[in-house]
Amino acid sequence: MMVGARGLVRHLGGRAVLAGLDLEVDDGETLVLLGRSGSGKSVFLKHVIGLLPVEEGTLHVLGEDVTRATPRTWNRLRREVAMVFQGAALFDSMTVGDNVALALRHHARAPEAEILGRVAASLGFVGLTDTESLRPSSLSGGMRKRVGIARAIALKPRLLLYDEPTSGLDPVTSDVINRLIRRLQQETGVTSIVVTHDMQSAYFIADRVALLHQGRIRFRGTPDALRKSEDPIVRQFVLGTSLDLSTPTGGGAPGPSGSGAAFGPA
Amino acid sequence: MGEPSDDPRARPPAPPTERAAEALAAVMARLHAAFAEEGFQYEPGAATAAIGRTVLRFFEDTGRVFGLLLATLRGLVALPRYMGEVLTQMFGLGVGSLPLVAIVAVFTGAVTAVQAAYQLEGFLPLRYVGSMVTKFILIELGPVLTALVVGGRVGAAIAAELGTMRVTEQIDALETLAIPPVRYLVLPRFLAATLMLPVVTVFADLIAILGGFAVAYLVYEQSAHTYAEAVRHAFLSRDLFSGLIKSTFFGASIGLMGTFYGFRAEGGAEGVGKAATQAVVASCVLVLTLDYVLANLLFRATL
Repeated sequence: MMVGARGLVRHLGGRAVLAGLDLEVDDGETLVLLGRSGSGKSVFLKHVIGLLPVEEGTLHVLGEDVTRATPRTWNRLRREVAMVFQGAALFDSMTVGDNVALALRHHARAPEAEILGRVAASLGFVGLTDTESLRPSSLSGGMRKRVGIARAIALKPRLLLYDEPTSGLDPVTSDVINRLIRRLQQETGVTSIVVTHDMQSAYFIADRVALLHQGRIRFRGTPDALRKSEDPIVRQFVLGTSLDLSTPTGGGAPGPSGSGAAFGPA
Repeated sequence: MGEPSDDPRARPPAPPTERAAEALAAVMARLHAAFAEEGFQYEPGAATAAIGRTVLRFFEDTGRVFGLLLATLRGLVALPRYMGEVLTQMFGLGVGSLPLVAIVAVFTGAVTAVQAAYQLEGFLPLRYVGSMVTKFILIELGPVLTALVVGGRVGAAIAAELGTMRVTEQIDALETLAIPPVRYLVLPRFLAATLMLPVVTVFADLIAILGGFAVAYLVYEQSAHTYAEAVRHAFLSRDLFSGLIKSTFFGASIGLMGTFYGFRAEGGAEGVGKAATQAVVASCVLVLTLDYVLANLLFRATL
């Protein structure tokens, strides 16, 4: 088990963003965490890499109990856990090459030639060969995300966290990122948690899908199971409708026929 | 006034304290209505609560600043690893500030010379202008004005840079790469400000004294020799170093305030602007407060 959260609670601004979240992520799988904006997906991700301390509940990362982990423990774990940020969060005072090399230079006692080789390999993997000397400000949104991924994989992590990897990108660029995430998982066997509200992306890359709703996991299963789910909250998300589907028109207990009737003829 | 007690048949006459309370309540009600008409929300006790909150926040922030200072000083153990960053920051902060500091210093020296001559006239010979300029510049004007100017320039720059990094998640990104932001970002800026402000101040002192000479030479027609003699007459290395000790503390304040408010920025461009403003205001206040405290410690006259 790569990540295990049990009863995770987090309050932000007086609101329980996570209200007893239970979630497990297995070795080598790609878990897509779905949820509406502000549902606490990114907040959960920040717990997994120690940017937010655990308020209540327990959390295991890479098989280690990190519920009360010290900064020292986190800094050790973070060499094996990496995060791709929503806005890429590239250091704009540095070149692309230095962005990718920063952690390598900081941690690895390797000769500079070797570091440059690994930077080139990381950038090559995301399809950005020979961009080392560019400035982040001169890159397009999709390229920035790819540099963010290159920076995250430079230390060869075992667990990779993506925060909204396709948000703000056009469909074609989104597809490039999606393929990259899948290829990365296939070639390196890295475990991934992808936070998104992009259903297409979810179907494409997910081994398993989890839906976060009101601070808890509402659904967990394969993308196929998600499509077939009868849960009105899940259906609402899958179909992308803001209509309240939780009260079937037929009345009584929500059953297959009841929730079906709520959608009307497709 | 006192409508409630107008009709004596309605109630027996109330005791004076109660009447006063009723009158007060009536006034408050009217005030409330007046505020509401103007579109303000008036809540009784809101002002007191606001003062209380401000005081609490002040103490809370003071605690946080000391926390950051301690974390930064603890980072000194890993200094060799961040030496490159420290040198980069020292260069940008020191060399980059020189032009501005030089302009301020030259005019400070010049105006001090004019004022000194005005003060001396009728009491002492004007050849002591150089002495007065030297005294004023070394112990007070050089360190303080340099700190205020550099505080404005560097404090705002540090806060804006770190604030932007905060709101674009670059500081979080550093953390996820297992690079401690306090050591990588705060320590170099804090050290650079602490070490370079005295260096810049030495230049400012020199340029200010030369600025004073320009006035003495051009306006009061003193020879270089006269001015130099006057400077030498007043120059005490103790004054110079006391001034530089002040500068060291001022530099530390500027670095600390810039990084503190930068780290705390939130909410996009507006938050970054606010952080820069707060950093400059706080470092100015701190410089002036510390100046008073240190002046008492360093220059207290023995009675």
